[in-house]
Amino acid sequence: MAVPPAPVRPRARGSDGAAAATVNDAGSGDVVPPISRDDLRYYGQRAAAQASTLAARAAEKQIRVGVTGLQRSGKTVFVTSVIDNLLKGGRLPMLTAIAEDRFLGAQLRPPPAADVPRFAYEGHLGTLTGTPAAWPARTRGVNQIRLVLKIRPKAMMRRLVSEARTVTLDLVDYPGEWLLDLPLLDLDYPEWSARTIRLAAQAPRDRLSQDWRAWLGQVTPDQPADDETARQGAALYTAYLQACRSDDTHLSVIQPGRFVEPGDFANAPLLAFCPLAGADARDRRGGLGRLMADRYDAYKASVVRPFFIRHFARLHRQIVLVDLLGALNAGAPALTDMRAALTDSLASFRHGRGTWIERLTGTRVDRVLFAATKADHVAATQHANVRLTLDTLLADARREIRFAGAAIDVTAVAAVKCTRTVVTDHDGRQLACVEGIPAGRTDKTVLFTGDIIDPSDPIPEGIERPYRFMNFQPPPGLGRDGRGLPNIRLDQALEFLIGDHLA
Amino acid sequence: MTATGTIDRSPPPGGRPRPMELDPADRRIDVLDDRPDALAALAAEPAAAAETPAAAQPRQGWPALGWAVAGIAALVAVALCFDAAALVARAFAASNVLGVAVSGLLAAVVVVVIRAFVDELRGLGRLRRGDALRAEAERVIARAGHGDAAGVAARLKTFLDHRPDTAVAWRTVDTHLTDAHDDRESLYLVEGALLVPIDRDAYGAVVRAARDTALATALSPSAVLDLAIVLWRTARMTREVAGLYGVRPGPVGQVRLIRRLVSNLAVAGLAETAHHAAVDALGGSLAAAVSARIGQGLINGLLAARLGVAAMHACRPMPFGPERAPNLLGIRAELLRMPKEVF
Ligand SMILES: Nc1nc2c(ncn2[C@@H]2O[C@H](COP(=O)(O)OP(=O)(O)OP(=O)(O)O)[C@@H](O)[C@H]2O)c(=O)[nH]1
Ligand SMILES: [Mg+2]
Repeated sequence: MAVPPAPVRPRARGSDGAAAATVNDAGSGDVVPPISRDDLRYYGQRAAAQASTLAARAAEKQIRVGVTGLQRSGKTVFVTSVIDNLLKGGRLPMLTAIAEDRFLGAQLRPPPAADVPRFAYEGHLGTLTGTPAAWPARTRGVNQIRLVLKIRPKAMMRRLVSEARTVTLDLVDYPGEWLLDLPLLDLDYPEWSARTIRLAAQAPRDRLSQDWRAWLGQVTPDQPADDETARQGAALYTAYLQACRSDDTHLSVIQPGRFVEPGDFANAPLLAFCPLAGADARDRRGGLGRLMADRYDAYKASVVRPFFIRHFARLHRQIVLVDLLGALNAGAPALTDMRAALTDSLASFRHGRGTWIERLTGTRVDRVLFAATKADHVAATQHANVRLTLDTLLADARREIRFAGAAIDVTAVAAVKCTRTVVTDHDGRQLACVEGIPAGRTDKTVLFTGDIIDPSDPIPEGIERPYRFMNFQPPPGLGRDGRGLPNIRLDQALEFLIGDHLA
Repeated sequence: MTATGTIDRSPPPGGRPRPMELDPADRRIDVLDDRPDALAALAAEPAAAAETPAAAQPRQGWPALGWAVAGIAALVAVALCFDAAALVARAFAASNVLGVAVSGLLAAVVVVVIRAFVDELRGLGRLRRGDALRAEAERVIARAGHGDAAGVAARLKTFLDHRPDTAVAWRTVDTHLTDAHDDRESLYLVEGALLVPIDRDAYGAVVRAARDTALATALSPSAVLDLAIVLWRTARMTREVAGLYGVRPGPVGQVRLIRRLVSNLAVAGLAETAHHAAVDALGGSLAAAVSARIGQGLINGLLAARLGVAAMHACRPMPFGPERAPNLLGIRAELLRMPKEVF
């Protein structure tokens, strides 16, 4: 913080200034005149003013919230709805600042960094609320946006007039695949290769990785380095990763993230590598293994680390959006994989590992919210179980960082509520269903999705496809009432993420 | 309307229903909405008589002493009746005018006594109704299911019929509630709109009482007067707080309430010895520096504050939501600032 310039001393005035005047009259301009009472008062006021600007500056809080999640987990829709709801303020009743009537409003501001694309809020909102209503397009790389929130602080009993305060909120939308890259910083190439190849041989990945593994069988780390071969391997490996991400497999452990979410690195030579069987740290110079290892290290140095420093390390709060329902749709392997990915990502929020970056930057994420998105795909009576299912997936990893890490919470949200819950009579039994317009159709339907009965074992053995969650269209006429997009529990999510800054 | 058990682990009877798509036009479909018609109606019209009687509390058997007291009371009542009758007879014997006057007087006394009795009963009834409502709300909140919030809200509506301005608050609740809110969330919203404003007033009353008590006992010359002040001021505060929440106990109810507050203090571990309170309030070394009188005043003020907060807990028809319970820190800070201002 800049040191305020030294106050200009006022000229001594009035009767108290008589003594000073005499000294000055004597012609010794350099002599410091005795301090008068007026001077003292002046310095006092000056100091008080400075203290209060300092306090005001300190009071002007700034928070950066990261919004991440694997592809199609709902980041863009989430950020759009959060902004819309903060701007309009009409659908966040459980945000304490709003409930206590201390939230005075929000405004968009130009984002801080010119080289990070601005989150296209207006465009996305237009798509959602247009006719016909549609979902926003896929996002590439990092986007960010800045809002200022005007808050009246909680009045202390004696403070009669509490002045409004502003809080600057930066929302950073980045692919969850990049978050899953961070653990690579702790792995060298041979370790990573072994781990990845082991994983690729397990069902259901074995089927998807067939081509790549066939290629692996034909190459050795010792053969002469050749860019063409490396590219070939990288292409096959990328195809395998893409297959893992498809809707019906819905696997989550995708490394390295830039292979599928390249951001600015599309087709960069940096990405022309892949794991090799039998890779060894002592691989000889000029061999394929060494080439791959060098590129892997370069990937870490010029992709993962810069991302860490420029974006991740500057976050204060993080929400990880999880398409849990998508995984449940895809079946047990998707769920197992999701557990592994969540565990991996949680490691990044463990503090006190004394990593170089932690020492370097000093900021760290101190609250992480894991949110199962698209909660409106299931009946309201199921929300608690959706939340509990996600909680169970995280349980082990959470226990580990409980004492030395960010505070963690779990919830189920819908950024844009597209359905309502209805109860139907079916064969003498009452079923809680959702009613809405399925994606790609024009008429409403009523869907019984299947109930999660035991959150600790959501896909019991012997029951084939217990769930059927469907995508829905944004309802027509969305946002027309000017209260903000209808949502489920966005207010509670925001309360956990930024509520303390709005107190 | 169903309330699907949240952690009901057993498969539903008749096996697990398969996911399926149903025809929206074909079946009888209910909207599962936690703002059922009952609540919507509440928002619309000021008075709704949707009150369910308080859950029947198991009455405890009267102990022998109770029977004895009741018997004696009955005897006294009978004696009084005989006396009254005799008195009227004597008056009529003396003169008709006197007889009419005495019987008129007697009738007035009887009416007043009955009125007081009825009021007392009504006050006690409200106190009990508040307790029952709080218990029910606690149960519904803990279950966090669906479909039970409306009943609690309806009972709260009746309970708060003494408040003039609730229609707006109910409308607020109505705009914010959606079918996605579970009972806990719904009641949190209800509580926020209806009870939090009352909490604010009640807290103000408690702060005022604490300050008065602290000041008055600091200035009062005798310990007996101290005690009188504390008793009188806390009684007034309790009545005020209770009234705000819609509990209006008569003398008996008030005694009962205060007895509960005192026992709550003990139960909640709030009770502190005077010494602790003083150290707590002043910080060890400072306590020594302040005169005993002021220290005494502060202790009494804190005691009043504690009783007031306990009264809020005891009279509020719903439990405090997370982060909504009043705390003593503010009052404590307030009281600590006082010596500077007064002396
Ligand atoms: N019903 C419903 N569907 C949602 C919601 N949020 C997201 N979706 C669905 O999920 C899809 C993906 O949402 P996005 O916000 O674009 O996801 P993203 O994480 O930004 O995706 P990428 O940018 O591709 O990584 C949408 O097209 C919707 O079909 C929601 O709140 N309710
Ligand atoms: Mg996106």
